[in-house]
Amino acid sequence: MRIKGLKISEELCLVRLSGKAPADRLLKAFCGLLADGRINTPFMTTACRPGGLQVDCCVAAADQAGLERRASVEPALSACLSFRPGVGLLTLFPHRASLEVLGRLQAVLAENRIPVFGLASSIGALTCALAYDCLDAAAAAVQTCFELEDNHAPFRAEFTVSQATRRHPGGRE
Amino acid sequence: METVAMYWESRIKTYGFQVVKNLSLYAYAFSAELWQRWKEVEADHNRFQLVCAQQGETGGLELILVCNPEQGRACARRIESVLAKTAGEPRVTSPVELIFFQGPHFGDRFGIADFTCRALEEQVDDLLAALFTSASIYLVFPKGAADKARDRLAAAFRVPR
Repeated sequence: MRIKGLKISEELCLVRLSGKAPADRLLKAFCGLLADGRINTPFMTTACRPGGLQVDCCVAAADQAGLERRASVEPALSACLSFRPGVGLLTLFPHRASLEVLGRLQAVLAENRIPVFGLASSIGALTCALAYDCLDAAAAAVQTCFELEDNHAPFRAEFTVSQATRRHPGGRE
Repeated sequence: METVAMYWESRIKTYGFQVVKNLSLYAYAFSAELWQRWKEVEADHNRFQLVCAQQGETGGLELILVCNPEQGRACARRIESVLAKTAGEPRVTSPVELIFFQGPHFGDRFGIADFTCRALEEQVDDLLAALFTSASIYLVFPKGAADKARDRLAAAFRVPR
Protein backbone atom coordinates (compact mmCIF):
# COMPACT_ATOMS: atom_id res chain seq x y z
CA MET A 1 0.00 0.00 0.00
CA ARG A 2 1.47 3.31 -1.07
CA ILE A 3 1.51 6.51 0.95
CA LYS A 4 2.89 9.93 0.17
CA GLY A 5 4.76 10.64 3.33
CA LEU A 6 5.67 10.34 6.97
CA LYS A 7 6.42 13.30 9.19
CA ILE A 8 8.18 13.26 12.55
CA SER A 9 7.66 16.08 15.05
CA GLU A 10 9.99 17.78 17.45
CA GLU A 11 9.89 16.71 21.11
CA LEU A 12 6.58 17.47 22.80
CA CYS A 13 4.80 16.97 26.10
CA LEU A 14 1.47 15.15 26.23
CA VAL A 15 -0.93 16.91 28.56
CA ARG A 16 -3.99 15.04 29.75
CA LEU A 17 -7.06 16.64 31.29
CA SER A 18 -9.59 14.26 32.77
CA GLY A 19 -12.42 15.12 35.03
CA LYS A 20 -16.08 14.77 35.84
CA ALA A 21 -17.00 18.44 35.91
CA PRO A 22 -19.25 19.64 33.09
CA ALA A 23 -17.35 19.56 29.79
CA ASP A 24 -18.34 23.14 29.18
CA ARG A 25 -16.50 24.39 32.23
CA LEU A 26 -13.44 22.11 32.08
CA LEU A 27 -12.71 22.36 28.37
CA LYS A 28 -13.24 26.10 28.23
CA ALA A 29 -11.02 26.62 31.26
CA PHE A 30 -8.27 24.44 29.80
CA CYS A 31 -8.38 26.04 26.34
CA GLY A 32 -8.41 29.45 28.01
CA LEU A 33 -5.33 28.49 30.03
CA LEU A 34 -3.48 27.47 26.87
CA ALA A 35 -4.52 30.63 25.01
CA ASP A 36 -3.57 32.92 27.89
CA GLY A 37 -0.15 31.28 27.96
CA ARG A 38 0.18 31.68 24.16
CA ILE A 39 0.70 27.94 24.02
CA ASN A 40 0.07 26.21 20.73
CA THR A 41 -1.34 22.68 20.48
CA PRO A 42 -0.53 20.84 17.26
CA PHE A 43 -2.58 17.85 18.45
CA MET A 44 -5.68 17.79 20.64
CA THR A 45 -8.38 15.18 21.08
CA THR A 46 -11.43 15.56 23.28
CA ALA A 47 -13.83 12.76 24.15
CA CYS A 48 -16.86 12.79 26.42
CA ARG A 49 -17.61 9.45 28.01
CA PRO A 50 -20.17 8.40 30.57
CA GLY A 51 -17.39 8.73 33.18
CA GLY A 52 -16.41 12.26 32.20
CA LEU A 53 -14.29 14.28 29.85
CA GLN A 54 -10.78 13.46 28.64
CA VAL A 55 -8.65 15.87 26.67
CA ASP A 56 -5.25 14.81 25.34
CA CYS A 57 -3.07 17.47 23.78
CA CYS A 58 0.55 17.99 22.87
CA VAL A 59 2.49 21.14 23.60
CA ALA A 60 6.12 21.99 22.89
CA ALA A 61 8.47 20.53 25.49
CA ALA A 62 9.58 24.07 26.32
CA ASP A 63 6.00 25.03 27.21
CA GLN A 64 5.47 22.34 29.86
CA ALA A 65 6.88 24.27 32.81
CA GLY A 66 4.93 27.40 31.92
CA LEU A 67 1.70 25.48 31.58
CA GLU A 68 2.22 23.73 34.92
CA ARG A 69 2.92 27.08 36.55
CA ARG A 70 -0.21 28.65 35.09
CA ALA A 71 -2.33 25.65 36.04
CA SER A 72 -1.05 25.69 39.62
CA VAL A 73 -2.97 28.88 40.38
CA GLU A 74 -6.22 27.13 39.48
CA PRO A 75 -6.30 24.12 41.82
CA ALA A 76 -9.57 22.71 40.46
CA LEU A 77 -8.08 22.56 36.98
CA SER A 78 -4.61 21.59 38.09
CA ALA A 79 -5.98 18.53 39.90
CA CYS A 80 -7.35 17.24 36.58
CA LEU A 81 -4.06 17.59 34.67
CA SER A 82 -1.23 15.16 34.12
CA PHE A 83 1.92 15.57 32.04
CA ARG A 84 3.90 13.03 30.02
CA PRO A 85 7.14 14.54 28.69
CA GLY A 86 9.21 12.93 25.94
CA VAL A 87 6.41 12.48 23.42
CA GLY A 88 6.46 13.03 19.66
CA LEU A 89 4.05 12.82 16.75
CA LEU A 90 4.31 10.51 13.77
CA THR A 91 2.06 11.64 10.92
CA LEU A 92 1.21 9.46 7.94
CA PHE A 93 -0.48 10.86 4.86
CA PRO A 94 -2.78 10.48 3.10
CA HIS A 95 -5.13 8.19 5.06
CA ARG A 96 -7.76 8.14 2.28
CA ALA A 97 -10.34 7.72 5.09
CA SER A 98 -9.41 4.03 4.94
CA LEU A 99 -9.92 1.72 7.88
CA GLU A 100 -7.33 -0.55 6.30
CA VAL A 101 -4.70 2.20 6.56
CA LEU A 102 -5.65 2.71 10.20
CA GLY A 103 -5.50 -1.03 10.88
CA ARG A 104 -2.14 -1.54 9.23
CA LEU A 105 -0.62 1.41 11.05
CA GLN A 106 -1.86 0.33 14.47
CA ALA A 107 -0.99 -3.32 13.89
CA VAL A 108 2.60 -2.63 12.86
CA LEU A 109 3.14 -0.36 15.86
CA ALA A 110 1.68 -3.01 18.18
CA GLU A 111 3.79 -5.78 16.59
CA ASN A 112 6.91 -3.70 17.22
CA ARG A 113 5.82 -3.00 20.79
CA ILE A 114 5.69 0.73 20.24
CA PRO A 115 3.07 2.10 22.62
CA VAL A 116 0.56 4.55 21.19
CA PHE A 117 -0.54 7.27 23.59
CA GLY A 118 -3.06 8.83 21.24
CA LEU A 119 -4.27 9.02 17.68
CA ALA A 120 -6.23 11.48 15.58
CA SER A 121 -7.26 11.94 11.99
CA SER A 122 -7.27 15.25 10.17
CA ILE A 123 -8.52 15.93 6.68
CA GLY A 124 -5.73 13.99 5.03
CA ALA A 125 -3.46 12.54 7.69
CA LEU A 126 -3.34 10.16 10.63
CA THR A 127 -1.24 11.34 13.55
CA CYS A 128 -0.03 9.09 16.38
CA ALA A 129 1.41 10.31 19.68
CA LEU A 130 4.34 8.06 20.58
CA ALA A 131 7.38 8.11 22.83
CA TYR A 132 9.80 10.60 21.28
CA ASP A 133 12.64 8.09 21.46
CA CYS A 134 10.58 5.61 19.43
CA LEU A 135 9.78 7.89 16.50
CA ASP A 136 12.60 6.72 14.23
CA ALA A 137 11.90 3.07 15.00
CA ALA A 138 8.21 3.66 14.39
CA ALA A 139 8.90 5.33 11.03
CA ALA A 140 11.09 2.38 10.03
CA ALA A 141 8.44 -0.11 11.11
CA VAL A 142 5.70 1.72 9.21
CA GLN A 143 7.79 1.50 6.05
CA THR A 144 7.72 -2.29 6.29
CA CYS A 145 4.01 -2.27 5.53
CA PHE A 146 3.55 0.97 3.60
CA GLU A 147 5.51 1.94 0.52
CA LEU A 148 6.56 5.55 0.32
CA GLU A 149 6.31 7.18 -3.08
CA ASP A 150 9.52 7.43 -5.04
CA ASN A 151 12.12 9.82 -3.70
CA HIS A 152 10.24 10.34 -0.47
CA ALA A 153 11.63 9.64 2.97
CA PRO A 154 10.30 10.32 6.47
CA PHE A 155 11.04 13.92 7.26
CA ARG A 156 11.65 15.52 10.59
CA ALA A 157 10.50 19.01 11.46
CA GLU A 158 13.68 21.08 11.09
CA PHE A 159 12.14 24.24 12.41
CA THR A 160 9.19 25.23 14.50
CA VAL A 161 6.86 28.09 13.81
CA SER A 162 5.83 30.23 16.74
CA GLN A 163 3.59 33.24 16.71
CA ALA A 164 5.51 36.39 17.48
CA THR A 165 2.36 38.37 18.11
CA ARG A 166 0.92 38.42 21.62
CA ARG A 167 -2.50 39.39 20.33
CA HIS A 168 -5.10 36.68 20.61
CA PRO A 169 -6.57 35.49 17.33
CA GLY A 170 -9.99 36.91 16.65
CA GLY A 171 -9.41 40.10 18.55
CA ARG A 172 -9.69 38.86 22.15
CA GLU A 173 -7.44 40.93 24.43
CA MET B 1 16.50 27.12 13.01
CA GLU B 2 13.89 29.49 14.33
CA THR B 3 11.18 30.99 12.18
CA VAL B 4 9.21 33.87 13.59
CA ALA B 5 5.78 34.31 12.07
CA MET B 6 3.30 37.12 12.45
CA TYR B 7 -0.17 36.03 11.48
CA TRP B 8 -3.13 37.72 13.05
CA GLU B 9 -6.65 38.41 11.90
CA SER B 10 -9.33 40.49 13.52
CA ARG B 11 -11.67 37.72 12.42
CA ILE B 12 -10.20 34.27 12.00
CA LYS B 13 -10.50 33.01 8.46
CA THR B 14 -11.73 29.54 7.57
CA TYR B 15 -12.28 27.86 4.24
CA GLY B 16 -15.91 27.09 5.10
CA PHE B 17 -17.79 24.65 7.31
CA GLN B 18 -18.74 21.14 6.26
CA VAL B 19 -21.66 19.46 8.04
CA VAL B 20 -22.35 15.74 7.76
CA LYS B 21 -25.42 14.28 9.44
CA ASN B 22 -26.77 10.79 10.11
CA LEU B 23 -23.46 9.33 11.18
CA SER B 24 -22.70 6.84 13.95
CA LEU B 25 -20.06 7.01 16.65
CA TYR B 26 -18.51 3.71 17.76
CA ALA B 27 -16.27 3.65 20.82
CA TYR B 28 -14.15 0.54 21.47
CA ALA B 29 -11.78 -0.19 24.34
CA PHE B 30 -8.81 -2.07 22.88
CA SER B 31 -5.79 -3.50 24.63
CA ALA B 32 -2.43 -3.12 22.87
CA GLU B 33 -2.52 -6.84 22.06
CA LEU B 34 -5.82 -6.47 20.27
CA TRP B 35 -4.38 -3.82 17.99
CA GLN B 36 -2.01 -6.49 16.61
CA ARG B 37 -5.04 -8.42 15.40
CA TRP B 38 -6.80 -5.42 13.91
CA LYS B 39 -5.49 -6.17 10.42
CA GLU B 40 -7.45 -9.45 10.56
CA VAL B 41 -10.62 -7.37 10.67
CA GLU B 42 -10.31 -6.83 6.91
CA ALA B 43 -11.94 -3.46 6.75
CA ASP B 44 -12.31 -3.75 2.97
CA HIS B 45 -13.39 -0.49 1.47
CA ASN B 46 -15.00 0.94 4.57
CA ARG B 47 -14.33 4.60 5.12
CA PHE B 48 -14.28 6.70 8.25
CA GLN B 49 -15.20 10.35 8.69
CA LEU B 50 -13.16 10.70 11.85
CA VAL B 51 -11.01 8.47 13.99
CA CYS B 52 -9.25 9.16 17.26
CA ALA B 53 -7.94 7.21 20.20
CA GLN B 54 -7.02 8.07 23.75
CA GLN B 55 -5.18 5.99 26.29
CA GLY B 56 -7.34 4.91 29.18
CA GLU B 57 -6.41 4.35 32.80
CA THR B 58 -5.61 0.67 32.14
CA GLY B 59 -3.14 1.50 29.35
CA GLY B 60 -5.35 0.32 26.51
CA LEU B 61 -6.66 2.66 23.86
CA GLU B 62 -10.24 3.72 23.46
CA LEU B 63 -10.89 4.04 19.75
CA ILE B 64 -13.58 6.43 18.54
CA LEU B 65 -14.77 5.86 15.02
CA VAL B 66 -17.30 8.10 13.28
CA CYS B 67 -18.64 6.77 10.02
CA ASN B 68 -21.85 6.20 8.17
CA PRO B 69 -24.11 3.72 9.99
CA GLU B 70 -24.02 0.97 7.35
CA GLN B 71 -20.24 0.93 7.20
CA GLY B 72 -20.04 1.19 10.96
CA ARG B 73 -22.31 -1.79 11.45
CA ALA B 74 -20.35 -3.84 8.92
CA CYS B 75 -17.10 -2.91 10.61
CA ALA B 76 -18.53 -3.71 14.04
CA ARG B 77 -19.60 -7.16 12.83
CA ARG B 78 -16.10 -7.86 11.55
CA ILE B 79 -14.52 -6.63 14.74
CA GLU B 80 -16.88 -8.82 16.72
CA SER B 81 -16.10 -11.89 14.60
CA VAL B 82 -12.33 -11.46 14.81
CA LEU B 83 -11.92 -10.00 18.24
CA ALA B 84 -15.00 -11.55 19.82
CA LYS B 85 -15.25 -11.45 23.58
CA THR B 86 -11.92 -9.72 24.08
CA ALA B 87 -12.92 -6.49 22.35
CA GLY B 88 -16.16 -6.11 24.21
CA GLU B 89 -19.26 -4.38 23.01
CA PRO B 90 -18.76 -0.96 21.46
CA ARG B 91 -20.51 2.05 22.89
CA VAL B 92 -22.63 3.26 19.99
CA THR B 93 -24.12 6.73 19.69
CA SER B 94 -26.33 7.19 16.67
CA PRO B 95 -27.21 9.35 14.91
CA VAL B 96 -24.51 11.96 15.42
CA GLU B 97 -23.59 15.04 13.41
CA LEU B 98 -20.16 16.24 12.37
CA ILE B 99 -18.85 19.72 11.60
CA PHE B 100 -15.37 20.08 10.21
CA PHE B 101 -13.40 23.00 8.93
CA GLN B 102 -9.86 24.20 8.42
CA GLY B 103 -8.05 27.47 8.27
CA PRO B 104 -4.66 28.98 7.51
CA HIS B 105 -1.91 27.84 9.89
CA PHE B 106 -4.41 26.66 12.52
CA GLY B 107 -1.86 24.10 13.66
CA ASP B 108 0.79 26.74 14.26
CA ARG B 109 -1.30 29.35 16.06
CA PHE B 110 -2.25 29.49 19.73
CA GLY B 111 -5.81 30.24 20.75
CA ILE B 112 -7.72 28.57 17.91
CA ALA B 113 -9.28 25.93 20.19
CA ASP B 114 -10.12 28.59 22.77
CA PHE B 115 -11.77 30.75 20.11
CA THR B 116 -13.79 27.76 18.86
CA CYS B 117 -15.01 26.91 22.38
CA ARG B 118 -16.01 30.51 23.02
CA ALA B 119 -17.91 30.66 19.74
CA LEU B 120 -19.85 27.52 20.64
CA GLU B 121 -20.87 29.01 24.01
CA GLU B 122 -22.87 26.49 26.05
CA GLN B 123 -22.89 24.02 23.12
CA VAL B 124 -19.41 22.95 24.22
CA ASP B 125 -21.30 20.86 26.73
CA ASP B 126 -22.98 18.95 23.87
CA LEU B 127 -19.68 17.89 22.28
CA LEU B 128 -19.25 14.13 22.04
CA ALA B 129 -15.75 14.42 20.59
CA ALA B 130 -13.51 17.10 19.13
CA LEU B 131 -10.22 16.98 17.24
CA PHE B 132 -7.83 19.86 16.68
CA THR B 133 -5.04 18.44 14.56
CA SER B 134 -2.81 20.19 12.09
CA ALA B 135 -4.92 22.85 10.36
CA SER B 136 -8.28 21.10 10.79
CA ILE B 137 -11.00 21.00 13.43
CA TYR B 138 -13.61 18.25 13.77
CA LEU B 139 -16.57 18.58 16.14
CA VAL B 140 -19.02 15.74 16.83
CA PHE B 141 -22.47 16.61 18.18
CA PRO B 142 -25.64 14.69 18.99
CA LYS B 143 -28.48 14.75 16.48
CA GLY B 144 -30.00 18.18 15.96
CA ALA B 145 -27.09 20.26 17.30
CA ALA B 146 -24.89 20.79 14.23
CA ASP B 147 -26.89 23.49 12.46
CA LYS B 148 -27.01 25.73 15.49
CA ALA B 149 -23.30 25.12 16.15
CA ARG B 150 -22.44 25.93 12.54
CA ASP B 151 -24.40 29.18 12.75
CA ARG B 152 -22.49 30.18 15.87
CA LEU B 153 -19.14 29.28 14.31
CA ALA B 154 -20.03 31.08 11.08
CA ALA B 155 -20.88 34.20 13.09
CA ALA B 156 -17.53 34.11 14.86
CA PHE B 157 -15.16 32.99 12.08
CA ARG B 158 -14.80 34.65 8.70
CA VAL B 159 -16.31 32.43 6.04
CA PRO B 160 -15.49 32.71 2.33
CA ARG B 161 -18.33 34.09 0.20
